Amino acid sequence: MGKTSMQYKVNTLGSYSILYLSGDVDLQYSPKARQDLLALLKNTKRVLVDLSAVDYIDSSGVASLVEAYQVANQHQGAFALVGVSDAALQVLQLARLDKVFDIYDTADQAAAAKG
Amino acid sequence: MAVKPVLRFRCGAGADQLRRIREAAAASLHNMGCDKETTDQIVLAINEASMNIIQHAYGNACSTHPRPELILELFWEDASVKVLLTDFADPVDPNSLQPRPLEDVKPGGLGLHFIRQVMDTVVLQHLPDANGNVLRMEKTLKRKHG
Repeated sequence: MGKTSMQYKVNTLGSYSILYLSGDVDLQYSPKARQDLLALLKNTKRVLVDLSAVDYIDSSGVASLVEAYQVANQHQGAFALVGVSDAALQVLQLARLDKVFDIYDTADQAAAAKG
Repeated sequence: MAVKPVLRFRCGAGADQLRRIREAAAASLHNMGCDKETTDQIVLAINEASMNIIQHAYGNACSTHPRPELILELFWEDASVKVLLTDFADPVDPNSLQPRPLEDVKPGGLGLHFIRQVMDTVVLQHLPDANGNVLRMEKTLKRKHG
């Protein structure tokens, strides 16, 4: 169970922007995550989301990721999840989205694989 | 004699209460010897059901509703955990609690799928005189020990 509210930071890796989410990505904080993800996708078409420090994610947080994934695809961009925590992976598996998202252990691996 | 709940947790119907709800439920399930996987699953179902109450049952009326509250109760009976979530919003049509197909990848609509996948039974009933709703969920228990 997460003890912190959702926090995030943005970094770059080559042509990719990396959004690091952490803490609880639930209904209280997922609107902010969604807003920031969509804003990031306006500026760059290549986005990685690092979920390694996510303690908890619910369906509203997952919905934000799905929407970003779809926006990236619509604009011929690149979108992947990296370092997905066990807590987040369990929820993605329940939604069978682990078969939909590209998931990598690290941002370097994702950038190398997706080019 | 009626069975007493292991946990009775009452709070406002707001997104800022969800972590408190999760923590109360997780602590109670843990104390009763529920294993981590089952605890995580039941907590997810409780979180999703609470979200539905906040977003859809109360919805935009939450700020003007005379009693925008929800009550979480946990019971242990016959090697299963029973969850009651009570709200005081307008009655919700039980037939509306149908999950969407997962093959259609789109944002939203996953909460009901999570609840149905995690819990063994899910039943929505109305409070007397249409004063709210009670969601009853049940799951057979796995314990760490005993």
